[in-house]
Amino acid sequence: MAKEYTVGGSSFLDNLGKIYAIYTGGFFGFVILLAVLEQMGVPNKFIGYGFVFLTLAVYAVIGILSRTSEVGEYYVAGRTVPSFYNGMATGADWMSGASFVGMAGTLFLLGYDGLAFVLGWTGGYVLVAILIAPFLRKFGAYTVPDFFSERFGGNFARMLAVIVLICCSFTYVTAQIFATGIIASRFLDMDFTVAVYVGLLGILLCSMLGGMKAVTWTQVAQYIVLIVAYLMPVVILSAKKYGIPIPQLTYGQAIQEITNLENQMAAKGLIATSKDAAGNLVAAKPHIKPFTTYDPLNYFALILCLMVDALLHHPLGA
Amino acid sequence: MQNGTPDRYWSRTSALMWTMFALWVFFSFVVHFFVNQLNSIVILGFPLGFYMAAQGSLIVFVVMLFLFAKRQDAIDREEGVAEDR
Repeated sequence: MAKEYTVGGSSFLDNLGKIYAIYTGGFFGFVILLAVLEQMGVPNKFIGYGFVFLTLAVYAVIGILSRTSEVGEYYVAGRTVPSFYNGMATGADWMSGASFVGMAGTLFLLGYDGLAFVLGWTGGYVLVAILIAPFLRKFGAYTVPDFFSERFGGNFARMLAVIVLICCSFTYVTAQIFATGIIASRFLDMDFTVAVYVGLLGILLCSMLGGMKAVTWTQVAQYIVLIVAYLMPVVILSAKKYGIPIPQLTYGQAIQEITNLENQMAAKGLIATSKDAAGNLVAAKPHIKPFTTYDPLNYFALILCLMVDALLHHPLGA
Repeated sequence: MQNGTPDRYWSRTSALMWTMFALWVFFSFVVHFFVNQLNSIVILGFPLGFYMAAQGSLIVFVVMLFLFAKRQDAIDREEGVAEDR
């Protein structure tokens, strides 16, 4: 039988570093090419299309190459993914619409209170690691409901897990699809509804044929693109404004400037720091002041909820 | 194939888990109960309370994860339940 080249096969796993290094190099070359085209005056619309469709094509190719009909591979990628790459795939899960669009906006709008999301989801990851991770994989179950039914016996536990899972996933997926629609409709200049379908089609292409195996390997590719996309704007901003390209260090100075600007605006009577009697927002709230939107009880309850949410999502690889 | 007894494996794993859990409770909740007091301490332009929520606790979480994984792996190997590679 002729040796077929499949993603996840032994020759693939042995050459992982090389394959993804070539991919990363190709990605940077592609970005430079688009920059050159932009300088030459190619309209933004075409650059937008080029960017989205080319990366999507790469993911779709990976998705098709990963096609499989083995149950083990469809559900858990055959458990052969090396841990470093699995980590990349998990990271890509969370660097998605919810974070890129949703959390960025929330943090901008709510300031300190938005950090509940950051604390909740990161802390939740720690919870997953200590409570579930060591056991789920050894257990050999394919899905969390399976695990529950084996561990606690019977179908009642399983049903409970399924119900909670669907509720969590449903809201999460809705937010993701909405973000996809917004991004696609702006970037590609399409009507929102059309953009949602285009986004869904892209997702299908990447995941339907190969299941978890396809998803994992496309996520690794996406991780590289995403981490560059996340870091680049803040690094450039930090370098331009403060001369140090490490945003984590200059973050503090930016906070100080925001606070100063707020104080100036308050002195001129442009912002207020409280709500009126009916509980409506009077005007903008100080960025760093805690508990301006949520009172402490709600804030910490939100953190707890988000942690449980992470607990349920991560084992899914979702 | 296990070298040690299941009970010992479980008690070691539990002990590790509870330690990590306590740390987690501290950095997820307890530290942030004092955010207003901490905010009066300013480091590198950062009010400390805000910093803990935005970066500090997160850095601690990541370090915890690495330490936990290493520790759990060591326990697994010593008790003979580690995965064959």
